[in-house]
Amino acid sequence: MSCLKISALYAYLEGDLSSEEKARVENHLNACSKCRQALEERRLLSEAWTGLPPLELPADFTERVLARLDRSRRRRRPLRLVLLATAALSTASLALLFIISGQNVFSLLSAANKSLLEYAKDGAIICVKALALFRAAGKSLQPVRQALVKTLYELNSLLSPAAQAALIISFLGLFCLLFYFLGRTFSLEKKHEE
Amino acid sequence: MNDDQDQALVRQTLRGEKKAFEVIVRKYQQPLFNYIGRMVGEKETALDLTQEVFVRAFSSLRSYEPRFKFSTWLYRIASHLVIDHWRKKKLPTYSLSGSLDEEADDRMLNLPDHGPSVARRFEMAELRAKIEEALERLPPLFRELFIWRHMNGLSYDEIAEIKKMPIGTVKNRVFEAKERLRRLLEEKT
Repeated sequence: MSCLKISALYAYLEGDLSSEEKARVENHLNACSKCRQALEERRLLSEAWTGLPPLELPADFTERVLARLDRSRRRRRPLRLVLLATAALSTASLALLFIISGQNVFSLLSAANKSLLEYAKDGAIICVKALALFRAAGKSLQPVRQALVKTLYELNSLLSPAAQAALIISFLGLFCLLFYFLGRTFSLEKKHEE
Repeated sequence: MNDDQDQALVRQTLRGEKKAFEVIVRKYQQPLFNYIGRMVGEKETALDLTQEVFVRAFSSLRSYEPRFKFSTWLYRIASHLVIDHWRKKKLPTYSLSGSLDEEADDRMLNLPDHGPSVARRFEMAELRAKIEEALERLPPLFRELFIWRHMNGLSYDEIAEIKKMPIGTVKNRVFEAKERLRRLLEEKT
């Protein structure tokens, strides 16, 4: 009569055997003192290791975790603001560049489109049509644009460089705040909604 | 508290209810610390890594897939952190496909008929202290599965989900871990 496999003893202790296997193991255990001793040994060890005491956590551990979460959230915010401010600064700089140089954005885009036409004729036709539409829209808004540019020139002559810088910084600040509040408002994840 | 309640707490946290995540922390801090502490051995490192589990869980809560159990997701984060910690410290890490004693399951009993057993030689408290010492010498892969099964009380299904291993492999490795631990106890005494 061969003895039981060790894995069968553990499976028996964990109640992980079918009723047939369990009966077979119990029949063998009734007849074999060596296997009974081996089973008892493993039962005692199982009792010992399943009852190991928990490791001692500091009483304020939860508070430490929550404080660390707050710190990590605060660290992430400046990065987002820096990215937004960079994007806003680039946009504002580009707009200022166009105003100061007196260039027309639409004519520049149109010129770029013409060179594109040389390399990809078919695709460019669609772009040209789209640009024509934009230009028409631009022309109809030209008086508004001219008035805006004129106002900016007048402001430029009225305001000192320091006041201009302060104005640009204020606009950038408002821009950042707008993104920040939009981010907070739309931060929920839909897939977790009930 | 079952997994449905965990899912509800996750949803509340995502809605901005900070208190809900605090409940999650209070529920899982002890089992995670029991696991990490016994895996890394140093108390301060274990405390730091346990905190890091919650920080990472919080920051990536939106990527958590509700079809999985929340607890297994947390244990997976913890397991990755433990492995990263060993890599940084240049301690030997372990491979999930590492060689195992494939013959273990077929090993037959070969025990002496007389003489006191390891378990009977000591009082329970003393035996538990010896088990803690022997655990430190158990190879990490076996230690991890053993802790999850017998100290954290995870089911074989849950362990298989955490480690993305077949359930049969998990059972064999837990069994192997127990026998290795028993042999370590015999060697020491």
